[in-house]
Amino acid sequence: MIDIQIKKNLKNYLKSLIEKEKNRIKIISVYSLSKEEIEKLTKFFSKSSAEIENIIDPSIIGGMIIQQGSKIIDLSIKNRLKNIEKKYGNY
Amino acid sequence: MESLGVDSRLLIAQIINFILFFFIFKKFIARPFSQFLINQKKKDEERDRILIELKKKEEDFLKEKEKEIKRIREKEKKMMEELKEEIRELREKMIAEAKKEAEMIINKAKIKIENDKQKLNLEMKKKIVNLSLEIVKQILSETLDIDTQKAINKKIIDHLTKGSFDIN
Repeated sequence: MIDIQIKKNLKNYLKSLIEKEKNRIKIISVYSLSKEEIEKLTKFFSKSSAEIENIIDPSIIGGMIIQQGSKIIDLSIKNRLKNIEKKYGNY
Repeated sequence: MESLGVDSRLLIAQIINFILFFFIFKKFIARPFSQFLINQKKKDEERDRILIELKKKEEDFLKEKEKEIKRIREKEKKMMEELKEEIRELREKMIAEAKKEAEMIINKAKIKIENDKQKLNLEMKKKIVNLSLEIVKQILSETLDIDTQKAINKKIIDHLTKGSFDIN
């Protein structure tokens, strides 16, 4: 059996990790986003404390992928093409 | 009589002699011979009768035999006809079964061909779509310059700020 205090501490640690992860926003794009673009995105998230990380990945072809915690908004061209493939390519 | 040259005593003796001879002949020779002839005739008659009887029996036997042969032949003919009929029915049954089986095989083959055709069509469509998408990906990767990329991102950010997407 795990000690109650250890359990509580572990729970708090995980909560803080989740919170930290929520404040951390990953934006995957083809090119490095400009300050202006990042600012606009920060406004969109309405979290001034949010930590935005811009990851460059040319494989997404175009658009961007936004990841906050476990939530992902995939607005990349690669994803659009994948959806088309799912719709017409896999019978 | 003597004047005629006939000796009467000799004549009498000869007459007596003849009578004696007649009786002896009749008693010891003629009668047994006659009896023997009668017996012989009876035997001949008996033989003839037996012969006729045998002939009749033979004829009857031959007739019976002929009848039996005829009966066997008729039976044989009937059996042959029955056998022929059975063979004909069996052959028709076998032909019908073979036809049915052939139809079944043809139908199965048709279904398989149709399925294969559909499968092939789908596979082909899938390949065409995948190939087209690969081409599009390749072309987009090569043709999208930084300005176009920025324009796309601007559009996305505008949509986000307008509230078209919500991450929270």
